[in-house]
Amino acid sequence: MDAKKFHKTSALHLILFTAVLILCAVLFFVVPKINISQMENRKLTPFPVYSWQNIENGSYLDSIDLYVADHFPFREKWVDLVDQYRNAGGIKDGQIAIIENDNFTMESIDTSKLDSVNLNIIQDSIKLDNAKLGSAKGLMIYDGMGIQIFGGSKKYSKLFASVINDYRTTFDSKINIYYMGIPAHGEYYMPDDYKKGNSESKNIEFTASLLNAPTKSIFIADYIRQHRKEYIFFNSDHHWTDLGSYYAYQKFCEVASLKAIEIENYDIEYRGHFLGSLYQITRDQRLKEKGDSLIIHKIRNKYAMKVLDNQKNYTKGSAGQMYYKWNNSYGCYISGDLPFERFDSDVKNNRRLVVIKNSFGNALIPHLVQNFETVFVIDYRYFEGSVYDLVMSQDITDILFPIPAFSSNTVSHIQRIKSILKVTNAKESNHLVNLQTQKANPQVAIFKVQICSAKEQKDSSFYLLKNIHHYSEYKNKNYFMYLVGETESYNEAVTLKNKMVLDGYDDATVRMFINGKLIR
Amino acid sequence: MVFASLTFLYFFLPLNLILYYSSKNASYRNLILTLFSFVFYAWGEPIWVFLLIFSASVDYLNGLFIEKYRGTFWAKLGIVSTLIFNLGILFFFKYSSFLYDNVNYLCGTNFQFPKYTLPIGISFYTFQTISYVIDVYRNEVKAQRSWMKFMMFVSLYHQLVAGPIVRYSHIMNEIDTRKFRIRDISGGITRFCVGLFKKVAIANIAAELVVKYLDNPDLSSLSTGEMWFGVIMFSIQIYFDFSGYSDMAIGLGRMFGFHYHENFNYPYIAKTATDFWRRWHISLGTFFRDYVYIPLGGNKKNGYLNLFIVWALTGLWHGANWNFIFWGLFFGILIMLERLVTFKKINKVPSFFLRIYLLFAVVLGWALFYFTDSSKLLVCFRSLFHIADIAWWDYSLTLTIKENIYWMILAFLLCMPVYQYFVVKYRKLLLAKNSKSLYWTGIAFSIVLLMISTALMVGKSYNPFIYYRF
Repeated sequence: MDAKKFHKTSALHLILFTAVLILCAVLFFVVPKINISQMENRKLTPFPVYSWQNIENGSYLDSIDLYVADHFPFREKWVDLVDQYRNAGGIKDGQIAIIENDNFTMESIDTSKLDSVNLNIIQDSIKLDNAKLGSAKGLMIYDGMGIQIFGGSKKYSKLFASVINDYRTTFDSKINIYYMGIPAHGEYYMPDDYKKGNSESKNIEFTASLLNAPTKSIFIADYIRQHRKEYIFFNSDHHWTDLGSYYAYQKFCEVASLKAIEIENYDIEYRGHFLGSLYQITRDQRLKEKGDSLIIHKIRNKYAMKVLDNQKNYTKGSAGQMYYKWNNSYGCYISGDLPFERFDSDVKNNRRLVVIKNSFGNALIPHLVQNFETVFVIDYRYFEGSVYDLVMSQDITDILFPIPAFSSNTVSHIQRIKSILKVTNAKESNHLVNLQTQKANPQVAIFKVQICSAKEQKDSSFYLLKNIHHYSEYKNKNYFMYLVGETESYNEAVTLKNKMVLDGYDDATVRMFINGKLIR
Repeated sequence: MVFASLTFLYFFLPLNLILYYSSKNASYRNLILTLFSFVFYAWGEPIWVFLLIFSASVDYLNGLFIEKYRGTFWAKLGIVSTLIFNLGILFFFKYSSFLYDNVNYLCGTNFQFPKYTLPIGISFYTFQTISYVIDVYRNEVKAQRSWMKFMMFVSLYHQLVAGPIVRYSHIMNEIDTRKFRIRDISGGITRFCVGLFKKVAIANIAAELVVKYLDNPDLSSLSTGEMWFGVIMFSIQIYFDFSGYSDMAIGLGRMFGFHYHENFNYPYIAKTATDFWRRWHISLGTFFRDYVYIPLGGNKKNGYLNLFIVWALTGLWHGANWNFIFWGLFFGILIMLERLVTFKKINKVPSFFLRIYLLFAVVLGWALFYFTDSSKLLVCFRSLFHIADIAWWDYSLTLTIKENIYWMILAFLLCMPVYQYFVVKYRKLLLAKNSKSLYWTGIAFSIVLLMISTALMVGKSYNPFIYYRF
C-alpha cells in the first residue's frame, strides 16, 4: 500500500471512530429519555441535583456517570448484545448451571433502620454484618428452572423462633398463632445428583420445634411434594404459583380447623407468558426459553379489598385489586407488595386473621379470604404500624406467619418482624412462669430441664454453668446431670427448654421426676 | 474519571479531540490537554486536584532551582527537599495509617489516624516528578521552563491515574513540539480499543469470577480446584486490567502525538522471575532500577541487600500492607535464587519447564497479593495445597469452566503474543496486497471492539429490581 493511500485510509479510520462516538453522544441528547425501565422494573437514575456538598464528595459526578449509563441510547439493545457476548463465551449446559454468589437474596430489605432492633443474641456470635447478608447461597438452573440454594442454619432458626415466641408471649393464648415455614424450589426440584446447600424443610422443622405452645406449626413440604409434577413453582421466578400456595392453604385449614374450598370451585384466568425475577437477574437463556405462564385461580367469594394508607387507621383506605389487572406476573396477586391491606369477605364465622408476610404470602391471601370474615395483610418489610395495637383493637382471632425459609434465616428479616410488634400501652405481658422459684408438690410428676451432663462432678465455674444462677445437680448411675427449673406443667417445661436452646444450650432436654427420682 | 466509562468515551474523549485539533497553535493545544486532564482528575477527586497542582508546582520550582545552582550545595538541598516532599506526601496519604496500625499493634497503643481517601494516582505522579527532578539533578535533562508545559507533563490524563510512569526524558521533545501524523492517530485508536476490550471484556469478567471464589464468605469450604481457579482468574484479571489500562494510555497518547514506552511485554510467557519483571509493569521496574538499585550500588556492592531493599519497596509501592511487602520479597527471593543458580545453568532447562515454574510462582504470588487478611491467605494456601479437609473439585466448577471456556481460551491466548503475530501478518499482507478490504477489516476490527466494550459498559448498569411494588 503506498503512503498516500495509507494516509487516506488512516483518515477514514479517524473519521469513522469519532463519528461513532459523536453519533452516540448526539443520540443521547436527541432520543427522548424514559424514567422507568420496564426491563428492570426500576426507576432510572435521574440527573443529579447540584449542591456544593455533592460536588465536594464526588457523588455529583459519579451520579452523572450513572445517569449517562442509565439513559444511553438504545440501552436495551446493548444489554441484549451483552447476553450474546456472554453466551458466546462458553458452552451452556442445557440442563444445569450453578451461579454461586449472594446476589440472590430476593426479598431484600432496607437495613438502615434496623440497627436498633436488639435480637438478644446471647450465645451465638452472629455479627451484625450478617444483617445485610441473605441466606441464599446462589442459584442453580436445572431443566430451565431457577432454584435458589439455601444457606440457612440453626443459629438463624433460633433467632427467628425467639421472635415468634415473643409474639406468643405477648398475646393471650386464645389468639391462635400459626407458623408456616415455606420451602422454595430447592425442596422439590433440586436434582439428587447435584445436591447443593442445606435442607429447607429440616430447617423449618427445627424452627418449629423451638416454638412455644400453643403456637401451631403448619408443615407443608411433604404435602406439596405429592404435587410436585403440577405447576406449583415458577421456572423463572423465585415464587410459588397460586396453585402451590393453594396446597399450603389446604394444610393451613386442616390445622386451623377450617374447611378448605375445593380447587374446582375457583375460576381460572390465563394471563399468558412472562419472565420472572430469576430471569431478570441472570438473563439466562435457559430460563428465557422455558419461561412461565400466569394462571390465576380466582376465588368466587364476595370480598372488598382496601389498601390501608394510614397504618394506624384500620378501616379507611382506597379500594385495591385482588388480581391486579395491569400486571401479568406474580406481582398481580393482591396488587403486589403493599405495606398494609384489609380484606372483608362474606364469610360469617367470627374469625379475623392477621397475616404477617413478605411477597411469598401474596398468592396465599386470596385463598385465606375465603375462610375469614376479615383478613389484615402486613408486609413486614414496609409496615410501620404496630401489630400489637392492630391485634388488640380489631378482635383478631388468628395470626399467621407464612415465611419462606430463606427469609426466616436472614437476620434483617427477623429484626424487621420483631420491630413491628411494638407493644404499646399495656406493659409487655410475659407468661413465662418464673420457674426457678416456683415450689411444686413432691408427690406428683415434676419436670425439669437438663442443660448438661458430665462424668465428673462440675461446679459453677464450669463453662455451661457459670451463667446460670440457680441450677440443681442430680447423680444418675455414673454421671451427673445439671438441671434448671421445676414445674408440674409439661408445657411450661418445654417452654423453658426452648428458651434454654435459644440461649445456646443446644442439648437442653425435659426430664421427669417423681418423688425426686428420675423417671425419664 | 476512568477510561472504561461511557461518560469518558462518548463525551469527554470526542470533545477533547475536537477542541484539541480545532487549532494548530501549540500553546492552545497544551492548554486544552492540561484543562481536560484537570477535569479528568477532578471527576473522581475534586479536592485532590489541588494537591496535584501544588505538588507539581513544587517540583517545577525545584527543577529550576537545581539547574540554577547546579554543582553547589543548594542543588543538593533541592534534590533532598524534593525527595522529602514527594515521599512525604506519598507516605502521609498512603502509608501513615499502616504505620499507625503497626505501632498500635506492637505497643498496644490506640492512636487513631484521621482517615483520608487516598488521592488517586498519587503513587504514579509522585514517582514521575521524582524521576524528573533526579534527572535534572543528574543533568540528564534540561529543566522545563514553562509551568504550563510541566503541568501538562504531570497531569496528562492518559497516564495520570494508572501509569505507565512516564519519564520526562521520554516525552520532553513531544511536550514542546508534537507532530500531527494521521497514521499515529489511526494506530492509537486501534490500540485504545484493544486496551478497552482487554479491560471491559476480559478483566471485568474475570473479576466477577474472582469475587465469586476468592471473596466467598465461606472461603474454607472451597475445593482445591475452585481455589486454584479463583487465583488463576485473579492472575487474568490483574494482567488484563493493568495492561489494558497501559494500552489505552499508549493509544490515547498516540492520538495526541505522544509516544509513551511500552509497559508490558507478555509477562506470562517469561521463563524466570528476573525475566518476568522485565516484562511486567516495565516503567516501575526500571524506575526502581535506575533510582534505587543502581544508586545503592547495584550488584557490585551489597548486591543481595540492595535486591531485598528494592523488592520490599516494590511490594510496598503496590499497597500499604504486609502482604504486599511479602509479595515483593517473594520475588526478591526468587530472583536471588535464580542468580545463585546462574542463568547459564537455568538456560539449559527446557523452556517448557521454566515457563511452568514461572507461572506457578507468579500465580502463587498473586494469591499473596490478593489477600490482605492473613487468616484468609492461610485458608487459601491450605486449600491450594490441599492441606485441609476439603474436596479436590466441585462439579459446579466444571459447569463454570464450561460456561466460560471460549472466553478463557481467548484470555489465555491473549496472554501470549498471538495478537502480535496476527498484527505482523496483517501488516505484511497490507504492504504486499494493497487491498481495500484488508484495510476495512482493520477499521472494522477496532469498531467491533468498541461496540462490544460499549455494550458491556451499558450492561453494567443493568440492575433489575425485583419487588412487586407499584
